[in-house]
Amino acid sequence: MAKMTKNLYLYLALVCFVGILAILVVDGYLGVYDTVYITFGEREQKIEAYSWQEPWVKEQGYGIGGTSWGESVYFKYTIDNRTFSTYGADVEASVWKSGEKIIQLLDESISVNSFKEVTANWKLLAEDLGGGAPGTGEYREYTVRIKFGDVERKIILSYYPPEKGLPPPVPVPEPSSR
Amino acid sequence: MRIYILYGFGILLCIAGVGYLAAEYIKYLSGVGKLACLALTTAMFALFGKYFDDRGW
Repeated sequence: MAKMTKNLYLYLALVCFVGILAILVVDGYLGVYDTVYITFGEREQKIEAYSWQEPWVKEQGYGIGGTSWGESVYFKYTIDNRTFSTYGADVEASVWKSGEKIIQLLDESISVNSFKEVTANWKLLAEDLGGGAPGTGEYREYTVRIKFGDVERKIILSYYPPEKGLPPPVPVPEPSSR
Repeated sequence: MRIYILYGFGILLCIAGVGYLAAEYIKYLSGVGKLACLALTTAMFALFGKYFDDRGW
């Protein structure tokens, strides 16, 4: 008993250590996490699950920059179920502009087994958004909303005018021989 | 002496393990989780300090 009292602080410190481990595992690892991969212009951007916790992202959405009108944007949405039970939810993806829904990209029920991943893919074509290509110096922003069960992710995507190739070379007149 | 080397090795492994977990998963922790981790870490160092203080270190 005397030894127990002598080592009381050591045991309490070890309890704290185990508590930290438990929090990292239960709160940090376990849960359902979603990751979005967006590809356009030969580059893939990854939006990790923890990015959505940032206050400005919650408020304004996650800005991914822009691409030229006419270029396809590919989305890959991965749901990682790190729980001990199967997780099922409806996944919806749609494009919005000024509070109005323009197009529905995905609407399906997804079921993820325990400690497994499921991926949904879809593609956004600029032509489907309507309105024609933005004019020179203009750019347009759209909100891609991904609803997954109770949560909603907002991604801000911009389009700028399509890249025009270089103008055709002007033929140089041959010097006239006199 | 040998037992202390073993203790030291065990402590290093524990610190490395928790360091790895912290680096990998701290970004996924909720606000409450982060606060609880901070409180427990502070308490752990304080208790270790008290323990070694009692031992005359």
